[in-house]
Amino acid sequence: MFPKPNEYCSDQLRETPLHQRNLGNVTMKALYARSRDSQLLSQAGQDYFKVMYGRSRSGRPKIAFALCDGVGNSFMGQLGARLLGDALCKLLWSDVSFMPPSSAEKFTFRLVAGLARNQASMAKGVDDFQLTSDLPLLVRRALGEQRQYGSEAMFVCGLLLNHRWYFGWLGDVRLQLLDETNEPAVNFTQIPDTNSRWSSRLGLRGELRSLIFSRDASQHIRHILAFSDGLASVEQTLSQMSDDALTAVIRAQEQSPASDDISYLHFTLHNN
Amino acid sequence: MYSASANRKNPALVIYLLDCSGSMDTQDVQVTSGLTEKRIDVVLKAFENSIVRMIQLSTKGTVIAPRYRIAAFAYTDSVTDLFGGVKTIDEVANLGLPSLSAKTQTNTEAAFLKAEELLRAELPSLSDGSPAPLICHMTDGEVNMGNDPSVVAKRIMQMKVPDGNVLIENIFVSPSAQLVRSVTSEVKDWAGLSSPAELVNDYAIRLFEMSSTLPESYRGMMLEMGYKGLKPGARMMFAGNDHALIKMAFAMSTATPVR
Repeated sequence: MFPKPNEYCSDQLRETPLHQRNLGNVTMKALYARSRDSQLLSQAGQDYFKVMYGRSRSGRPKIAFALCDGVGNSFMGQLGARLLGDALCKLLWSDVSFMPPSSAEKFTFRLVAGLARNQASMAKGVDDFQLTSDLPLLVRRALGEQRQYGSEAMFVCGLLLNHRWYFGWLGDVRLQLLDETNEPAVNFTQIPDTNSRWSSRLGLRGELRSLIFSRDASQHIRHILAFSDGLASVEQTLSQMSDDALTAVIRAQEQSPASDDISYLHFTLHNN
Repeated sequence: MYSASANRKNPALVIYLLDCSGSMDTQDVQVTSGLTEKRIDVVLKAFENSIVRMIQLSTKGTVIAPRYRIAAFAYTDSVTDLFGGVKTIDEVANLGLPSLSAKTQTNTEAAFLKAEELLRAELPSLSDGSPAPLICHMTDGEVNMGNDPSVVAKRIMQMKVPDGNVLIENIFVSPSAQLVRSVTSEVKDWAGLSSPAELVNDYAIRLFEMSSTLPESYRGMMLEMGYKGLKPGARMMFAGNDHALIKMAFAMSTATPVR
């Protein structure tokens, strides 16, 4: 029986300003902002993140997180993002933690297999979503056709277990691993891929990538940034940005009619 | 050029000109082997598919952002405004689509004059970030009233916004063998029309000359829709009576990049 974790997830219906939470020996900053369109139309954002944190059976700090970006032209991208994010966190917290994989390939295999096992239930979540009865006929038809193709999302996820870090990602969601000076801690290049995504209809499309870091290797990693492509324009300077500067960037982007949803997680490790 | 994305602040303006002359009642559009439908019915379905696609591209959750502004004119010997002016895509979604019936003659010039009048009224108020407007013209035959529409069309093609000149797409619905030298069997792989030499009908050639070159951004959007054969530099022109080709032609009217 695993110790019951604490959970924190984004509220897709409102903005959450940059704030900090203490997760034991890890500090987490989180931010969530919907696109301007979503705010004006009082609609859910299509990004979603979830963090589960607590202690492992050996008493060491344990964190699982997933940050997902729903694909805009898919059916209810916000739904797909949430279903996928919840499934990934649960998978990481329970299945992967039960028998931690020893290599990135094995970690990838476990994630792929775990998502496949959950595929039917996630697909049902999309199929069961009820559209309101007052929608015009053309809109109902448009959404009905979209539903046939499913709800889609991209993601980055991670697990801290017994001083080891496991990361997986698919698509265009970003991950940065930084040292104590906010410079890249490891030789790691992530190539954004807008074609890869998870689909409630088809499962994983494209290549799920992963990294794991042993206790020794992860000693240099002090900061972990996970963020959606809403922050892609400031990706190169994000690690050096103060909280005030990041907040100012978010406010400016929210004013743009072409703004995208923004979700951001920043984990800082203490006494690693 | 042609890189501006359609969004709430800079919606794309798309004008449909739909020939509803008597010959559109002809039942010769190949749907499947041995099954044909009336030209006007196939066109209406393709037009509806375009509107549905625009709704999908504009929808987050269940709410439609006004990323497109649409005008549609049916023409015979006169021109009928189907929506009562330019309407945003969310307004069109609520209005629904009108029914159309085929009758009388073909005054294509009148339709293009209407489009020109609308553009002259609209262009001054479009913001600098707006995508270039697009006219999607569908006809099934030669003009038998009015003057040569290509004169008006070429004037329209000189009108421009910072994103580029106004685009004109022409769809000529008529038996393929009477229009093109080589009839395509798989539209997903079709390279498009790049030269008037590929056409065997004088009016089709005239429509070709008044069709814009397909912008690369549009070609990219068509690729995303599965139409992977279109070559760079192909014209925005379709000629034939294949159901899938007509569907592709109307899909092109939705190919403005969106954000």
